[in-house]
Amino acid sequence: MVKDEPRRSPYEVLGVAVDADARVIKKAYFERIRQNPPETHPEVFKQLREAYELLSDPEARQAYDASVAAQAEGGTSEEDARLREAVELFDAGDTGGGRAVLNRMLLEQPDFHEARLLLGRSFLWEGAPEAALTEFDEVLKRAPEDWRGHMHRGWALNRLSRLKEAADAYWRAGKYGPSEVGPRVALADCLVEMRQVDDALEVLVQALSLPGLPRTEVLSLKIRRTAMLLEHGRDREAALGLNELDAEVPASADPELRRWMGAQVSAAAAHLFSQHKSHAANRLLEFGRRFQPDDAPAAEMAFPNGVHVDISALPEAGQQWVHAGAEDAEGWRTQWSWVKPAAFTFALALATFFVLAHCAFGTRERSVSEWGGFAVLAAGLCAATAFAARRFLQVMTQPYGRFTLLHQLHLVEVMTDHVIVWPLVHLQDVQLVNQHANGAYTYTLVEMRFNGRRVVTFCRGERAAKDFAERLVAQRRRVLELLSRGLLSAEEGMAQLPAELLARGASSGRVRGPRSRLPRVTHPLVAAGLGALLVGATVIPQRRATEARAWQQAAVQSSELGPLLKFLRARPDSRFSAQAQARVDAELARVRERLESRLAPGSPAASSLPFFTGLLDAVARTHSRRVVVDWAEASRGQIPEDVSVALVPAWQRLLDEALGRGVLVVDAGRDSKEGPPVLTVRVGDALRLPDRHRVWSVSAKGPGGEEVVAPLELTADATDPKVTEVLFHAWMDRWHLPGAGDRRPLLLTASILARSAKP
Amino acid sequence: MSAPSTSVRRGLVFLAIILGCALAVVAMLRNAASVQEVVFVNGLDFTVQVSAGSERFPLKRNEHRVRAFPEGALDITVTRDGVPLAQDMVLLPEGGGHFVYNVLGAAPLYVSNVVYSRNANAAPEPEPRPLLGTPFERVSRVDFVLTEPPSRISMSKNSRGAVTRVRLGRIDGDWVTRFNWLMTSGHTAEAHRLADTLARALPDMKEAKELALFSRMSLDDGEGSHAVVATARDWRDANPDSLDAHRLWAYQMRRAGRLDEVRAHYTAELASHPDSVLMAILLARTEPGREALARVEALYRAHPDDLRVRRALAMFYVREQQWAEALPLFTALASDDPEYMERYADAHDEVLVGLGRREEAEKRAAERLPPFDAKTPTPWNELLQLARFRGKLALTGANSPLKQYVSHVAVEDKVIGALLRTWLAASMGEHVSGDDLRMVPAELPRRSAAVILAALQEGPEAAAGPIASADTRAFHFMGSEVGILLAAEFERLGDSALAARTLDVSRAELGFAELQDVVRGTRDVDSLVSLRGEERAALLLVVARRQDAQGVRSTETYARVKKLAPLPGAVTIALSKWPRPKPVGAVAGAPVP
Repeated sequence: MVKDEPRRSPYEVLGVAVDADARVIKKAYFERIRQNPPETHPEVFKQLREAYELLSDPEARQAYDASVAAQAEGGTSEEDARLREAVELFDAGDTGGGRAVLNRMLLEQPDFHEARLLLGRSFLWEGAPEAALTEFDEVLKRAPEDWRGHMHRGWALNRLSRLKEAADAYWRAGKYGPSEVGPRVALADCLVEMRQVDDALEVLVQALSLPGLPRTEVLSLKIRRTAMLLEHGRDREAALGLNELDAEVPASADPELRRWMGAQVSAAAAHLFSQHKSHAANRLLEFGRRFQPDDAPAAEMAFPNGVHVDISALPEAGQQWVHAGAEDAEGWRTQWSWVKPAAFTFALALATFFVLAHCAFGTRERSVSEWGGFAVLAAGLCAATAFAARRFLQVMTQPYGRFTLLHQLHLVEVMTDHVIVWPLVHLQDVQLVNQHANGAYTYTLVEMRFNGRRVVTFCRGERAAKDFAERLVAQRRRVLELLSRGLLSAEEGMAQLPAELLARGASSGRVRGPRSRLPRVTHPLVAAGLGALLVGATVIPQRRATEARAWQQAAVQSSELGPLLKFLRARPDSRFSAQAQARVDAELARVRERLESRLAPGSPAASSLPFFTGLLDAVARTHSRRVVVDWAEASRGQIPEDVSVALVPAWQRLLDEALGRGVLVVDAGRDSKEGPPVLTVRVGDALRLPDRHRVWSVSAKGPGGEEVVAPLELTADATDPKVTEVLFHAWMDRWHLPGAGDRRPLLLTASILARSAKP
Repeated sequence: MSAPSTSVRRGLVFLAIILGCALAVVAMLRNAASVQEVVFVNGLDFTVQVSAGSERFPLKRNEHRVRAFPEGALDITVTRDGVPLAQDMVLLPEGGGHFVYNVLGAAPLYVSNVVYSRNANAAPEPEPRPLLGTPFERVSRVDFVLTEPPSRISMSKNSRGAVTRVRLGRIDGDWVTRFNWLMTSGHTAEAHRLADTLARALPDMKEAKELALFSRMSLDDGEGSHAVVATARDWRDANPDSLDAHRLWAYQMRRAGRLDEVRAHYTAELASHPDSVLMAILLARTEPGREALARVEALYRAHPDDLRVRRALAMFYVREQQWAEALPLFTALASDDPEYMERYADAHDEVLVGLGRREEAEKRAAERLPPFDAKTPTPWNELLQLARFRGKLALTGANSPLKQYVSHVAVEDKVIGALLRTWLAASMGEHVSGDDLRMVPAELPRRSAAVILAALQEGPEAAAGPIASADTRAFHFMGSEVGILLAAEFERLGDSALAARTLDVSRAELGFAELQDVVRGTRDVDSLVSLRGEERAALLLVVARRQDAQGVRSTETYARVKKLAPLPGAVTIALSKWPRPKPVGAVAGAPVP
């Protein structure tokens, strides 16, 4: 503005009455700026803006009105002119000139309080509160009951952090200005600074009961009180306050009033944002939404932090903006963008195929639970692979890489197929950390905190990083300013990141775009099902392969009965059973031939040929080659030794002698893997006391429990040190088994001499 | 820079490539793991055709080839001029390593570690491990397959210590070498499998048949008398004109205590074939002394030129200690019997000793000693015989052929030299050097024999420990009289278990019942017609000791012992070193009756 051009009053600029309330002023402002956009009417727009800023600030408006009133009340037109001159000089930045004018006036009229107050305010604006205080004290010296003087004194003391004195000054201003709201509001703010929140709230309540308060003033006070409650965590009382406000300005109230309320709430929220009370601020904004007309841009809706939004979910303007940003920031997809998902997909596919191959081609026998486990594992791996494949496809179907954009209201991280939106109102801190490699600068990390959450981006160049940080901070300041003035909705770029879209993301965590064009088979659930099905499909072929392998393992040891019999026991209905049986029969035929050769007529054990032949028949029938020799003491403690230790190996030797090694296997009836016994020999050992004879009761039963040989009872003198040998010999003789008639020891007990031999 | 493509189709193509690569990697790795290498080796001295799976290739003599096959069963057929030699189904299991298919198990293969070290004084390489007699065997990863490993390899600077490589090698020799290797290392079943496979595949290979029988007998011994008798009988029936086959059967039958059946068999055979010289000789072997001698003398009169009769009569005279009658027969055999040196020279020497011509016997034994040559096997038995004739070992003092030979052997190989000295000293009942004994590896059967013989000098109780753990191989290096002596003594001391075991592993031609009867005094030693003089001496010694323990006069018995055992050996050792048993109730210091 040209210095000597008469200044129009802000009321004239906006075309509103002097007593217009904030609602009317705002409405007028919006109308005028619509008519005078900055692109076509820059100077007018500027004047409109300055006028609105002056009138929307209660303190500034008050001061202005006071100065005008002072001029109207007591001042002569010359004094008014000189005051206006001083104000114009101050507005033009000529602080010295303005003060000179005021000093001259005060020299002439020392009791011209208006001029002294204006002079003191100039000191305050210049950051010289001590000088300001001097002037205000001078006013109060001359007019001790001037409430404006006490008010100004309070401002100066507040700047000097002399809060207690400032609170006292405000109280006096309130006392001497009984109907003035300003001192009470200032006192409440001061008390909050002194952490006397309850007292501050009480002051505001008292302010509410001042007589003659306009309705908007009352509402403004209530909003301020509620914001204070929210700021200090008194949510319950704040909720009551909000409900009260809602009841006071229902939906049926004047739309202008409701719009004004919304703006007031936004301003309060902006203050809370500046105090980093984001939760409280968002709550207020949430509350303030109900006052927005349906067609008004919901710029003052809540600011959810760190919302993920699919790029495809953004409106056209938003997508174009991101696209343009990618061009500027070279944020296109690079090789590294898709290499990592490709590598993950490859690794998971590798693991999946290994597991499926092992499932299909592994030759180990598996139980139902193992198959179940494989199915679950395959399903999991297929799902993981599908997930990785989807991610890869998503990356490949998006042109973007990873980069950062600065929106008017947000910092936006572009992450290939979605963006993460960080409202600038939540920005708490910005740190620049230079990175070096081998002592040389490489790039700068820009570490930001948005409501406690860390976001990092990087800039190449220290200067660029600094510029970015400054832009960030300046943009945040601008957002808060606009928010406090309820002007956010007029800001450019709203359409790119609509508030309702972000609000949806706040509740669900992510805003998804339209269904992707990706093939259904890449859906993890579908892939998991496919994996489980594939495992199921391999069960039968794998079992057949396992069976074939088991048969091969048995068949390669063609001269060994054990593996063949084991195969037949485990798989009686196998498709190889006939072959296995044929081999068993062939081997048993060779054994029979051997048996007949060994127990030829004339040999001492020739009579036992039917006994052994019967055993071989049982082997062919039952597919077992096990013989159990079960020795039991008739009465515990009678027999000093465990004879089964000698009986089992003795029987093994006699069976080997008749049939050859590896045909039948003898054990004592415990822990055998050879199947059910084809012969169970039971020896009951007892001591007959009257004549001190040792008695063995011997029986032999076949696989079906039938008696194979008539039971025996053998006796020998228990005092004979070789009584067990005698009994065993008698047994062999009675049954004509190998060893019959042989005087060699058959039980092969340990040598007495060898035991006592010295090494 | 413009925006990159966002085509879904392009993305799908890339995805398909990724998945395809993953699938290919899995397939390659599985395929690599499932393929196994098989080394085919032909140790026979003729070319064979090998058919393995879908591969067909010839294998020349001593050639080897490597082929790769997938896991699982593999059918292998080996033919020679269209005639199948072997048909095997083998299993190539999962996991790595090499597989060796040794045609008919004939090639003497081994696996050894080759150690490369910066340190010239690194520890010696471990002993090579022979592959067993199975045609198909899995070995660990092999670095050098039937090739000579390099003398040097390059190692990284950072590597310390030694680097070990594995070699599959083949020693010089044929399947007989391998057979002997397996037998001496105690792998009797594998040795039998080798010989038996060859015998079945190559019916004309007589040696394979004989070695298959030999190993089969060794195996059957572990299964009891019925088994070994059946085998011997089968061999006899397959070789009706072979004296050795008949002798083998009779030997097994005697050990089984069934001599009466043998006698009855040959009586019947002779009745069926009265002109059969063989049957007559065999029957005579089952008869008591005079009866047998009369029969063979009659046979000699009827067939004076029959070599079998002359041999039999000469040996009968030796058995009856009719030295004068035996001598001309042996002299004649020396001139025209091709088997004289192998079978009858020692008996001839025994006759000379019996006639008091010990020096002559010693001279003959010295002449039979081959000149020392590092490449020829050590003549162990000849050296012992020489020492026995000399009456002492005498490795110190004046020079002698024995001393010279032993010295040569020791210079050539310290360990063999130590073993030779140890075994000779123990066999002669002389002091055994502890240093020599420690030098010899414990697993050598001849060492075990030396230990038993050395313990024999301490008494039967001292020998019980080594005997309890000895096997047949050790007794191969001792006379059968050792086993008979100890078995009888153990039986006399009441340890029938050890007595039976000792008799069994010693392979003496004596049944346990016969031994028991002799020890108990219910049977005369002279009724055991098949025993040699020293064997009868051993039994008689135990009889004498029993008599001592019973307080019965034993002088005559001891005299008979000395007569039957004129040369140093187990009997003379026991005679001189064992304390004589005291009768129960004897007073200390009282003279022995």
